[in-house]
Amino acid sequence: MRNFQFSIFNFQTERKKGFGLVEIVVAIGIISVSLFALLQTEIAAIKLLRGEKENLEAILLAEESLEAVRSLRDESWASNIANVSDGTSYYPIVENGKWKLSAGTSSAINGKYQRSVVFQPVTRNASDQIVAGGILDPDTKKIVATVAWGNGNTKILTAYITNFLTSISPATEEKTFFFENGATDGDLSNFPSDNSGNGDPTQSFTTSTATTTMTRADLSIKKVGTNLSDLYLEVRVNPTGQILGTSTILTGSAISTSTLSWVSFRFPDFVTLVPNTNYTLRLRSIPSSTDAWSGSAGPIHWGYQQTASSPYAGGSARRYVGRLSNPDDTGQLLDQYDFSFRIFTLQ
Amino acid sequence: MNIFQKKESQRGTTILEIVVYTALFGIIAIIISNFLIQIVGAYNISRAEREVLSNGRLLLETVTKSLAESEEIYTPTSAFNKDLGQISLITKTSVQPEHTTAFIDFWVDNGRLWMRKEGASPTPLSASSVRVGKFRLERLSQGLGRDAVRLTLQVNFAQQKFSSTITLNATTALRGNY
Repeated sequence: MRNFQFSIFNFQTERKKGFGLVEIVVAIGIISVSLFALLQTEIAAIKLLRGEKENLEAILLAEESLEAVRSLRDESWASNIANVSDGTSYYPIVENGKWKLSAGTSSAINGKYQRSVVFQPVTRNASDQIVAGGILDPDTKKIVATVAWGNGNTKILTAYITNFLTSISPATEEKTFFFENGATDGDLSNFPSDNSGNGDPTQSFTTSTATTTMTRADLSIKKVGTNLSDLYLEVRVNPTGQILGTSTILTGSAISTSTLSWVSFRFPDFVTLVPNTNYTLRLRSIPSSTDAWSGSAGPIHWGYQQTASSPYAGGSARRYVGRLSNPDDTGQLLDQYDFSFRIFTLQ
Repeated sequence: MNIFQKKESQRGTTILEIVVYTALFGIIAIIISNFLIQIVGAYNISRAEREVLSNGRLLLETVTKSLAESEEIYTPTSAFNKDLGQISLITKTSVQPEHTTAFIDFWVDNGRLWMRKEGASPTPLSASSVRVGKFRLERLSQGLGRDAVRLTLQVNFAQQKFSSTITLNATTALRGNY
């Protein structure tokens, strides 16, 4: 700096006059270039980190595809895996509380990722190793999960699944108590009610002479509104009585809309049912349909049958149970109607 | 000093040069400080991205690994289908002496994801630089005893000025370490 000041204020000779400015310009040039380089480094770091973030999101979606296919394998090889077409594109989707495969490529997940799963046949050689061009093994499939986003970015994961679960015999469940004639597709109970606090629909059933363990209940339902609340099912001793079991929650947006279909409400904590007793299935929503202006939205159609007397001898249907935040309100008895249901018990 | 020298020709030039010098210095100072501001800004953005990425990955790994090795979900203290949910797992890994199973809980409190293993005190899993915006759990049942949990995790950077967010989806079947 001494030299610098000296140059500026000393105009004795021509040489020193010009030198000060050149010095400054050069110094500034060096500083600017190095700062520019630093800035570029930071910008490159941001780009890399954002790319890495997308990679992570994409790879997790691909892993989820593989996990969905494994879940379908766990459920049933024969009905979920054996019947898919090799080489065709599928995508996993949650419907009615479980995974299923739909044909084609998914719509954009999180606004940008599209995923698909392709099954390929597997061939083995004489020593059972997986090779190309060997003998077809119908009990093994190769899965290729692809996630695509942006301008041609893709992540591809590959895995093999085998049909090993059929050699283990796990616990099974059977349909035990049921009423399946309720095929009328109509709105009987205004559930979940929009803002009016109309309460819940119920259907009761009677057990047989044996003690049974309930694992699941299927209801024949269909989504009508586009913005359906999440649903779950309760088993109670009577419509407003003690809760014996609560099912898993089904996400409203994942309920199918086309026709009445059997939707499973699973009870992870099994419910023990004693012989010759009347129990009530009470369909609930989150937020609760019993409270006015709770934000519950629907409706759904629960398939029913109407006859001059109650069509199902073992129980009866009710609606408006617990309406207007009154937990003791048993609602309205529908003595000419019954809702469709299937109760599954452990064998 | 030269400024006070009497020569006519030198006096005028000196003042002009000071003006030019000051102007140049001002312009340069603006350019350089602008560069510095941009560098600090870019550094903060990259820090936000890095924090969100590393926290998101850690949280997701921890929760999904715990889910995969657990035996079952303890329903009474689990909250599904909520944006800030919580989950309790019954696991056979790292159990207390004279016990066959242990509990692990995950929940969100005040923007941080917490974990508590049975017999230990609660530990925050996420750093204070990020907020967990969504910890949504959905329980899927593919069949009898085929439980799976679908997790949607959203992590945001805590400072509003440098926003960064990551949304991660994962489905984990409870397989009890097989």
